[in-house]
Amino acid sequence: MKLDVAITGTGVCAPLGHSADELLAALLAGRSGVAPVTAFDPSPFPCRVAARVTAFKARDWVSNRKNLKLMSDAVRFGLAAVKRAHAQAGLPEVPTDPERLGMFVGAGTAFGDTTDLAPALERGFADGRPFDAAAFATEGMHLINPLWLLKGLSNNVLGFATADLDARGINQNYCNSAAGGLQAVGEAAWAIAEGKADLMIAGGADSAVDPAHFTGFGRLQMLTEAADADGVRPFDEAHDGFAPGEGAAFFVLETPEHARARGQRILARIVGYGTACSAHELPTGVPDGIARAAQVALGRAGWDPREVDVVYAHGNGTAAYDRNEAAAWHMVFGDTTPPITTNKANIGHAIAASGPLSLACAVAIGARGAIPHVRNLETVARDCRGLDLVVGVPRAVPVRRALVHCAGLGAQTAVIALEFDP
Amino acid sequence: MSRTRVVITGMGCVTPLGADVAATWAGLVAGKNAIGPIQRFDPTGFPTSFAAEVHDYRPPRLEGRFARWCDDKSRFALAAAEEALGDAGLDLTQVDRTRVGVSIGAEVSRPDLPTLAERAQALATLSPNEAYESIPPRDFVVMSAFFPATAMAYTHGLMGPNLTTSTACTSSAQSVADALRILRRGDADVMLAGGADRLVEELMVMGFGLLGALSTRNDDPAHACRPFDRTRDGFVLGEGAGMLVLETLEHAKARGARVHAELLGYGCSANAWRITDSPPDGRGARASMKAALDDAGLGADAVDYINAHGTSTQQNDTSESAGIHAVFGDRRVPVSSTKSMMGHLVAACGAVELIACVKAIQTGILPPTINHEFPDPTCDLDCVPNEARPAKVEHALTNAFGFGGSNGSLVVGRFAP
Repeated sequence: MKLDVAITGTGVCAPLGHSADELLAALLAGRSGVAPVTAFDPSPFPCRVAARVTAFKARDWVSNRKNLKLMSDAVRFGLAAVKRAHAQAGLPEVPTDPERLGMFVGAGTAFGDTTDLAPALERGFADGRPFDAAAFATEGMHLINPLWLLKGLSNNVLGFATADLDARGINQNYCNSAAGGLQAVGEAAWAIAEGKADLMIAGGADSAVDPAHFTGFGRLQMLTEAADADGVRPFDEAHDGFAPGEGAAFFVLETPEHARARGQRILARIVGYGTACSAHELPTGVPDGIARAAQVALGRAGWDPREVDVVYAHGNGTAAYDRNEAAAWHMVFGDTTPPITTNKANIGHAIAASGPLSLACAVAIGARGAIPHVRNLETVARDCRGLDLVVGVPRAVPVRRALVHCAGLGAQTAVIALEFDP
Repeated sequence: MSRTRVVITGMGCVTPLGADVAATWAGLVAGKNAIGPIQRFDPTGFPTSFAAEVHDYRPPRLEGRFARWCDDKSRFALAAAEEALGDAGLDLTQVDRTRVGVSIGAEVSRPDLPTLAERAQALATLSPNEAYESIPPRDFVVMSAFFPATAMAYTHGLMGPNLTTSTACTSSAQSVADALRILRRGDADVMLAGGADRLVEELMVMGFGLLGALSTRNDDPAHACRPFDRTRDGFVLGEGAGMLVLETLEHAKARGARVHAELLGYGCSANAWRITDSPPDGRGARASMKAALDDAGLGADAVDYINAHGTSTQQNDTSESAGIHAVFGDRRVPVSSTKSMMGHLVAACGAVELIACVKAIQTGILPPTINHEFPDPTCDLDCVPNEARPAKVEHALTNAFGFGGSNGSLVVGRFAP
């Protein structure tokens, strides 16, 4: 079965850019959105930097403002990116056939806002006693917002965005750490190929810039301890982890025939998608899960690996993942790899949104014919050598075929093969 | 080109009714109630004091760090998968495990209330850095929604597609649908598909209770879950897991596997309405059921039994009934809600209720909707009231609908080679 699905709209909400072109321009200029955290006091954490979305007003993107207080930052970014993609693809405000408009989302881990529980928890500790759940329940529970649970639903981007756009078709929400975003796009592409929808909106949204993620990734020793933007160094010998990021990227998908019939320009075509898992060697993972996803995507696309013009790597800047990824690209490409880049040094790691953000950059690269360099990469780490990493300055090359990769904390991997028409 | 056929060759579950498929099915057929006062914590002061808890199941084999890491959500899933693999007679060392995948419906877990309280106190009394250091590193991974799928891949060495769906109560219907799609397009030969949830804990009882979604019939828990009954007042939290071994027919044949049933089709829709409510006209339910029948290539006439989502909330049951009438017209297809007996397994309900459909086909028995006393004109269905009923079932359909507005339907049929 062939996979050939057109991308006709891209919506981005990211540090350094509110469109794919703006984001790519910032990457080509070597800019970074990584900066010291100011949203909360980072002093308890070894990591003190993050990449935040700026110049963003959630109110502009939420039709029912009452819902705003139920929405986390991630959900707000998601709605903005969904609507930007929708607009770029020239879709009508009211769908022609709501049941043929679907949506697949890769979402982050919604830990729920436990600060909302604080007043009730205090009641449970009254008079310095050990915690008393009954006191919490009888004296504290009425202090909690009755809608507390809804703020923590993991599928809020999907729920709110489908309601806003009247998208009633096939839908999905993956909570699969950083693999979920590209899985959402890949599975949505298949939904189009299988004829389950005329139009799909797919992508990911997340924010890791909060104490819960600083604690979670921090305790796993995956975050950089660098003090500024120059310390996040994917594939560099000084790589010591990533900076938490945030944002969203979504895409409008349809068959090339459907796009042509409505006179819509095709930005790129998804022709391969692979997903795999290498959990059998947790916690560090092994390269074979990455290579496997890439090989499935290449096989579906019918490409010889030598035909690939660029690899958009996960490149999260942890020593373990950089090493695995380097080995995987050698497994796929042999000694000579295509040019490889990553944006994590510029925009941090937006977890569930990271794969879609890389995909958005790859789509823009195809149009521009220029691959951004890996910021802060000076001396390639010993076990990452032999890759054709784009170092120092951007590289101008025509790009016809791109692979985009992301991987999650649970050892899930995803790769999308993207083709550009000349 | 004919489409790849997908069959169910193994089933396993952990439910409030029992530790496996046999015990669960026996309970369902007997109309047994598994709902009672909460035992896991003292529910004094909580708006609802009862639930359907899993008290007893066979713990899965766990190796190395996973024995310490896995929480109940993952343990339920692994136990159900072990049963399903055994049932399928599938020796995973004899197959290409790059072509065996996992698709699970699950949600993030949260620390229980005393742990949460302890941590809040630590923040107040310890230095911020000591509080940070006191958090176990594994928590972030283990509590994540994807962990059951990761644990399954790790335990069984599975390198194929590995997905986790989190759409609340619809999760495992959609995760089974994903597995079906992956097998059809040829990206795997075998998929372990299902869902797991473990919700009977303070914060979830509180959260759903504050929303007014739970039954508060605290003086009579055994009769609290009454889907389609006029006096229903909310759903009852359950927990557990359901896992199925799905294979391409070709793969099942090649290894001489016994086939339980054929997974014929899936449908999925969004209400595009509100986060917690379903549209009264049941349009989302209708679209999902219709899409599943279309995908299966069947007309509505072919369906002999519907395992409803039937949560026992006013809204769901009315909306679902409207959807069923819209698809099935005046034909009174038997519709039962097994939640009346084992509560709402949330992320696991779609998979467990699919297993109930397969058992209905195999045994010729329809499980009942218990606690049915007062008919509701807005739920004018043949809900198989109170007692199981013999029936010949060739095709069955199961529904799952969730917060956030996702709807999923699955169609399963008797296997004919």
